[in-house]
Amino acid sequence: MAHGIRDKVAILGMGCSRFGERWDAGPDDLMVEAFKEALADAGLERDRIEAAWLGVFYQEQSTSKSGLPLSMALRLPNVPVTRVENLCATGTEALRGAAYAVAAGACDVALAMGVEKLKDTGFAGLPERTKGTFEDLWQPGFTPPGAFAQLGAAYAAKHGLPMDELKRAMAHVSWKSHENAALNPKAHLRNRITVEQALNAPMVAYPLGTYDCCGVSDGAACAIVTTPEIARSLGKRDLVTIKALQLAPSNGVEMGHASWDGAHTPTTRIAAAKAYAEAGVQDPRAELSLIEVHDCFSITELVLMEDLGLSEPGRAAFDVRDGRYDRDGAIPCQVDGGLKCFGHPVGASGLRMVYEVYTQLLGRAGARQLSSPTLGLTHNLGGIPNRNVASISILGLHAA
Amino acid sequence: MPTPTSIPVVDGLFDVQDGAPALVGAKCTACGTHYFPRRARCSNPACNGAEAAPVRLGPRGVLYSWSVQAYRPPPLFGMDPWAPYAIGLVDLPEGVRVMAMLTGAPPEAFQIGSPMQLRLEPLRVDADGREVLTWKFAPVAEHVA
Repeated sequence: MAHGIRDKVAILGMGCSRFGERWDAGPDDLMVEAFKEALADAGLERDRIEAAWLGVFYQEQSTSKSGLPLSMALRLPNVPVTRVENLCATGTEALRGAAYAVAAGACDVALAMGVEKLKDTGFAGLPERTKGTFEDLWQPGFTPPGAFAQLGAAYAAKHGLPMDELKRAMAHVSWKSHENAALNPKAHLRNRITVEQALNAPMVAYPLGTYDCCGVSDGAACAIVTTPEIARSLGKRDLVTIKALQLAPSNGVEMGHASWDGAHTPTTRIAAAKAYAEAGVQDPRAELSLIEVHDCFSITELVLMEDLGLSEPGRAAFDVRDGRYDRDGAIPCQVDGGLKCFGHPVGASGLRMVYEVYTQLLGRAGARQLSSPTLGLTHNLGGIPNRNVASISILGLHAA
Repeated sequence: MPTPTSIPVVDGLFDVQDGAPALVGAKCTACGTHYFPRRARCSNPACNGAEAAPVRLGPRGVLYSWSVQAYRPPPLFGMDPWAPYAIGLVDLPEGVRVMAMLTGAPPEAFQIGSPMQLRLEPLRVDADGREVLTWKFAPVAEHVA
């Protein structure tokens, strides 16, 4: 493997809008809200931005196509804007574009923006019609909850775990995210729940009940990136650098071949191995201070703890219930509330995760601040368990 | 003019006061930037204000550019019956430039720089027999070629 981009790119500033049902704001308002925060954080003039990447998933509902919505909303000085889309990994894809441009030396300062405006559809889940013409023919009747629910059934069967035991661990996952979001003023769902509430919630797709599912939100998040040298020259003392950015899409084996057990996500394991190598992480359990993973459903988060090498195979349910991934646990997960409670504006989610890691590393997380974090990981799983795009970023404090 | 037998093509784009139609936009209460159509708040990145209050725009303007639409646009455009029509850019005194259908003169008769006046005209008749009104700009009477 090539050297990768470890420590070649620093985050100069970040911003994140409040997530939620943003009837007061259109997609351009959300982008401006996130951008103003990032620009103030970076301490730059807007015209220093030399190129930008825009991540939007549901262009039909959110922004329309192309890089124009970003260029126009921010009144950028006619610099290149590339629009990217890679399912729920879209925000991280925008960051990958901007980071690669800086790492390559193509520009000194680049912007990555993710945005989504979904609540205007009037539907609590994801809008239906972005599947293309043929997907209905070979995945008839599929919905995200229905697809991810099968991870739960397969995981319980593979590890001989009674479903009520697994359900209790899944309820703990969601309870923990609600606890964390209660401390996050930008989060969509800030109410506390009990484990019993989660266990007794109406069923959405067995074994997933209401509280096992994240909703969707309106929101935007962005990052301004540069080289560590330029960041230093601009007076930044505490620097967060990108240690790794990796992406692994499915190649069709999971959905077309019985070799996949249906109880894990192979793409996450591949992306994680590459990301740990790129970042020089030898022992993720010991080295990671916090993680933000793709908890579209509680079972997804639980299974990911094994895919990321943080729990032994078959042990995630026990580790979750032991509190290992709680805010005061060994590896806090979703300190900001996660997709579950911070919210899920699809194109913004990857950058929202990076925003939380960045905020925590710089000690700016207020009531939910962790004690001296040094290294964080973000993970997206775009798509469904048998057909997805896994992306991982690792960010850390940069040694002076 | 909207009447019980007419409805606007989109709510909130225009209104009628004392018989006079105007476009309804918004103005930032901090930096003064005007927007059309109306929006809830200012999105000028250089402005720290957030609020944008509704404001009536025009109703007069100046024709900046124009053309004639010679083929029928695809749905959802709902003009019925359809005939070639002029379309143009009109500069309003508030500094906003809007694109609009043009009326009040033969399609080829418009003159750049001429004063224009807002008008409401039916685009089609809906299933309930109501006229669906849209907004257009017409040359101010004394300037028609």
